[in-house]
Amino acid sequence: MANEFSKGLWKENPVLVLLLGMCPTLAVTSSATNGLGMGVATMFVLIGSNVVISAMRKIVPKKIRIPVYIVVIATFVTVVDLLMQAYAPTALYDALGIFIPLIVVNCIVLGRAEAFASKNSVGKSVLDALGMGLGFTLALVALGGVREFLASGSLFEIKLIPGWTTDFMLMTSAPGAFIILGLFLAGMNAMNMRKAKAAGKTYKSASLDCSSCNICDLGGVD
Amino acid sequence: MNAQKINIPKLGIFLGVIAAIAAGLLSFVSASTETAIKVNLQKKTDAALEQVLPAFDAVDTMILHSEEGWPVRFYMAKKDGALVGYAGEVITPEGFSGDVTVMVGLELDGTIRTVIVTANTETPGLGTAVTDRKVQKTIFDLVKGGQEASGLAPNVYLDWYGSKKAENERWAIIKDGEEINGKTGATITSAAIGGAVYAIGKTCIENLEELSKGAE
Repeated sequence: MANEFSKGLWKENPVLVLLLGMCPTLAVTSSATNGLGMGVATMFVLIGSNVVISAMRKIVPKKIRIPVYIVVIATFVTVVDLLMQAYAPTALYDALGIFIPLIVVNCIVLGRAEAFASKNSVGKSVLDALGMGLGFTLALVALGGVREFLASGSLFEIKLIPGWTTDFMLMTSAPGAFIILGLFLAGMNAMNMRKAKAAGKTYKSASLDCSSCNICDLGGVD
Repeated sequence: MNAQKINIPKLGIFLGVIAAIAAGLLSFVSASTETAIKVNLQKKTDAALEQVLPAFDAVDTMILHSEEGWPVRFYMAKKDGALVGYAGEVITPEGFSGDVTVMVGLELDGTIRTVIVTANTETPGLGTAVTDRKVQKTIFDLVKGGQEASGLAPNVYLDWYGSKKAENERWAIIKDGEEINGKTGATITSAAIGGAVYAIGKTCIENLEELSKGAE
């Protein structure tokens, strides 16, 4: 059970291993604060959509499950947006509201619906959503923190190096995000390889390739 | 491949039911949050007006149309019965990812005082660097504690428009040197704001008489 939660943090981290949600990852991580906002908003939607999809997994016909999931997720995101706009403290909506429309196009939510929530119980799906959401948040904050620090010498919008006034523009734009993300991925693989070598094994990445994917059901006829 | 039996009507009906439930839920939530959202927006507008206008105790509104055909909502602020300034608000569709709402405070002759962006969905970190007014803090401020600075936080891109007047055409976007009103990586957002400020300023100058009359 604990594995459902912890796998999202490292072993199947949505950004660093599954490489899901690249669009928000690259676009939003220009600062640690933005990464945190996007991560928390996504986790919120992820938990809700995983619960709903897991609850209706037995009645949804297999052939049309993807459009059904998309309708459910888009509805959920819009409802969250409206409710937050109406009842959340203004400061919270000001901080998170801008990320919510972006979540509709975030494939982590659809990816977890298809790969996990549609096959597992509600409880497990909540744990999965929590772990994946937290993993996504941590990856985004780390990426945003490195980019923000290199770009302007600040972290969470607090200048760590006073007098750093010239922005390092590369880091604030998407190419900088690609470069830092590439370094993160390389570092993560290096760590995993070293760990495997110490244990006398060869490192093999999690089997998340096409053969173990069931989105298009190439393997079987239902 | 064997002909598979696909029950298209059944699948269609299922999808239709799901869509109908979603539509019903959305209209219910939309209807029940409408008033609360309006109240919140009004609160935000009031707070924004206080930021761009000098002290006032009464405000009238009037809607005029800019050259582009955008409706510009003008607020005529009065203190003790005398007109003290105007504020104009326009929603520009030229933003990078949707509408950007810009509010401009103006002197009685149409000179721009303050520009703020009251609503936007621009890319966080890029577009929002142009639209947001945030105080830059350093690590020393945290250590020292100290009090929060009051008043409007500066933003070089928005402050560029201060004490300018909307003349014949839109301002060009300048991205280098001391004078800058545009951010590299957020050119579209910068231009959208420039266009909106121009639309408000120009409409104000062209309708000064009507605005002062409307306030009476």
